Amino acid sequence: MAACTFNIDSTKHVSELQKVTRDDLYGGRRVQALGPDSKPLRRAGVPEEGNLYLVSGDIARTVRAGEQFTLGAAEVVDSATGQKKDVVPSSFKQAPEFRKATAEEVSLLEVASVYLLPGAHLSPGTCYIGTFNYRDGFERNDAAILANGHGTFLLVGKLKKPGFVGMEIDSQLIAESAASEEAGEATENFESLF
Amino acid sequence: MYIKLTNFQKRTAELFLLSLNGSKTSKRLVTTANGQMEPESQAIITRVPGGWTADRKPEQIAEALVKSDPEIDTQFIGKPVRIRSLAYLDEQRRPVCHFRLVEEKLTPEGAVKETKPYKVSEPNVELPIQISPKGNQKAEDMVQKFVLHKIYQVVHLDSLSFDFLYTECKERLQHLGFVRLGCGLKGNEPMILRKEGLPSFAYLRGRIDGDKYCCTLHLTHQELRAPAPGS
Repeated sequence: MAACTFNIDSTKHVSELQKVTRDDLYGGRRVQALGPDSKPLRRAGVPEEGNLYLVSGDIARTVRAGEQFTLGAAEVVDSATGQKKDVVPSSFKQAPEFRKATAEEVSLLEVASVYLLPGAHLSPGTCYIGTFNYRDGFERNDAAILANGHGTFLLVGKLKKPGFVGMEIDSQLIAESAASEEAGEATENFESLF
Repeated sequence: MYIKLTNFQKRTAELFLLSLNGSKTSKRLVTTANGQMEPESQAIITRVPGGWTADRKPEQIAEALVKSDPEIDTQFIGKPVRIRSLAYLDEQRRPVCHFRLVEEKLTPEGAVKETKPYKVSEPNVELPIQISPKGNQKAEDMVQKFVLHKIYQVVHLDSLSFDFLYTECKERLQHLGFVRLGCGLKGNEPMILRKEGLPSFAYLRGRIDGDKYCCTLHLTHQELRAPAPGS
């Protein structure tokens, strides 16, 4: 994997990134269907009409705009202003800046990916916060660099900003959250199998 | 999501877990003859199940089209499709009615360690969640030891639950750091929020500011450490 340069507290650190997943630490799991002869079976999706069994590779995803399919390039705009959004370059192209942070700040980072930084040697117990984008994109990801007895790690995700709540909470918040949860469950359909 | 939280005095309050995911700040637009539109993803059939293109790579399909001119089934190919249910097929692509699901546990190296009948994990937050007297972590230890993969804000639903949560944050939580929560009948199980969800260790963090409180639930199912060499 390519090396990335990090500006940590105005000091340059260069390291490769080694992704660490839960499966790498504890092992994974997979669910298999076995037939009467204990042979593994293939999973298939059944469409609404119920006349086909579609296995992985039988369907693909396309883009539709209104009633028509399109191959046109999509433009990314700000939802609120409609202004075209600038591309956030990959951190491999533009060295990300990290500043010293407290553990309290880092504890509000909802982590999506963990990378081991074998080339960065920081003293255990230190925490830094900044941003990191593995690829070019339109949303900036928050990140933290932490060092402990096992090495130096880069954690990438989103910093959450919970606010203080008084007696008069906006009940609309709860209604919206509950509705979005239900909508999320409803959209979890079998197409995710593919 | 609604939860019930039981404190050390065995008092229980119904609370709400508020997702902290903000709304999307950007959207994609495609220019069409009718103006700009937000594109939608649509699944289409790309090959006829069991047809001549099945199990062939695109280059093999192209070669076959050039050499022998087989027909593309225009009734199926490109047809929008919506998957509604699931089936299991045998080697001959016939649906199988009698099957059993097994769960294989793998080692970090990818070898099968254990095979057992598959059992769907059920959420265990319908029973009251208990604040555990053990396993509390300071913020420094928490971030150095664990990877926090999900954070919710815990909020009250009425004046009684406000008093409960505010008092809990003021008198206990803000002094204890991250307080471990236990689920299940005995209050010693990790938390499973959703059906088929991964069990996670849950920690509660509480702070107050005047007559307001901020209570967050932090979930983790991974330690912050490097894999063993060779895995």
